[in-house]
Amino acid sequence: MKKYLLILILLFACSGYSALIERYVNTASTSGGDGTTNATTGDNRAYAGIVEWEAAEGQDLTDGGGDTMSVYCSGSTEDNVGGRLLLNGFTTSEDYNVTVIGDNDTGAWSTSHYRMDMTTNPNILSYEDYTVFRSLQIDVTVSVSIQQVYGNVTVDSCIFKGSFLSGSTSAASMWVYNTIFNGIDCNDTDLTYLFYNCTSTGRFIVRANTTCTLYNVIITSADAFLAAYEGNTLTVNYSSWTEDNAQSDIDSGANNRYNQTFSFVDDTNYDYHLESTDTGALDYGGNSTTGFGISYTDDIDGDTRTGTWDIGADEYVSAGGGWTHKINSVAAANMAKVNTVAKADIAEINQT
Amino acid sequence: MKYLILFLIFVVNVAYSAEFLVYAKEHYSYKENMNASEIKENKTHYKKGDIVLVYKDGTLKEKCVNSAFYFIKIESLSYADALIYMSELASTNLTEKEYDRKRKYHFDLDAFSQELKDQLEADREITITIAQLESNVVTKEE
Repeated sequence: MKKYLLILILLFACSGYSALIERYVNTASTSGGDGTTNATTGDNRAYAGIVEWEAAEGQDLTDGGGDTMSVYCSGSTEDNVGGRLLLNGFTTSEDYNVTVIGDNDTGAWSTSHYRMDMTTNPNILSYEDYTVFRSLQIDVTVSVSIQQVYGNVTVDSCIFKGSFLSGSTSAASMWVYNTIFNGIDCNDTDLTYLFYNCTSTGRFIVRANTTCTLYNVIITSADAFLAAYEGNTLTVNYSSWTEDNAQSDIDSGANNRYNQTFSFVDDTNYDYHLESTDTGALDYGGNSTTGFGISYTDDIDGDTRTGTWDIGADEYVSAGGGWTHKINSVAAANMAKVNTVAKADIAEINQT
Repeated sequence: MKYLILFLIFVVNVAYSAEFLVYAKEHYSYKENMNASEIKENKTHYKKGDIVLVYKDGTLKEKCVNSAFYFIKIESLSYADALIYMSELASTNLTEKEYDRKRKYHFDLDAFSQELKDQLEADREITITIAQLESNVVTKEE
């Protein structure tokens, strides 16, 4: 019995150990802690900023049994130290990736929650494959909030006052949903961009062998235009913009709506929640996430999308709708997968 | 009154220092005898001695316990002047993945005196002069 137990332990050890590594950034903390808690003092204090976290924690997440890394960011003071986040210190894969999670639970711009506002353009320059950005806010000292240079990126429930910019060097994708931002310029090769249930204050430009899909997207500015240059593909459905501001070569679906007036709670201050009286977006969306890499049924602040979905980042919910904390679902899914594999291994060992 | 203000400015400039968060280890991808591709890749990561962040005087008030970093405080260096040491060594050649190399400046930690090395090892923190800063900071190759 003891022998078999030892063999079991040995086999389990050899199979590699997978873990969800959780780290914390808190702008009220000071540098030099180990980042393992959200405390602002003491040896285990949070990192003081996202740049410090990236420098300290860079590692190969795919080695051994593979790990996933989640970094939870909080603090009411802006994270503006370090020029920008140059995310390029990890080795990642589809299963073992990095998720950067802010704490904005409001679905609107909030100065009492974590937000980046660095001085170098873009604020986030992402090279890590399969990175997820969730519930983050980026202010607009510079024009570009995030540039994806390499790999696949997912953006969920963020508010970026700046734009997106692509600069990928190889086939890659960017999945963006429930997010508010200022448009995008897709200007590099072999990219697939999917924008679902987003609210954009700016333009969409697609070129250089790029495929871009907009679904349930509001483009708020009357001056913002849609353009697909050089034979590239821009497919748009269940979305709304000013009709005059689109080139004829976009692939426009049957359910788009043009020249609408929207009723937002306070768009001047980046609160794009729909009013109950809205006639432009409320109940005019499509319900399908077919073709999208991630199936989602919630909105920017965690409300469940029901009935006929609304266009844009927010799903209108009458009184009583509240925020559900968007825990790291991607990492959790990966961990479930890891755990399943580990359990299968153990079952196999037991049978042996 | 004018002289008092000038005096205060003088005192502030002399007394205050800038504080650096310095990368204390080699990046995990670093190894001996790297091939050309690995060298190129490694250049894009932080390297030992890189000045990761620059802070104003008094910011790094808690002890550094993270093995990834040292605190190096520079006497009489203003925060505004210190910010230059956080510059990126940028490249615009994205197609060759010769992108930004994190930081342009780094400390040659091996060239520090044994006394400073011992202090860094023991406390993870030292205070040096501007002259020591200038003699120990290296600019990476373009």
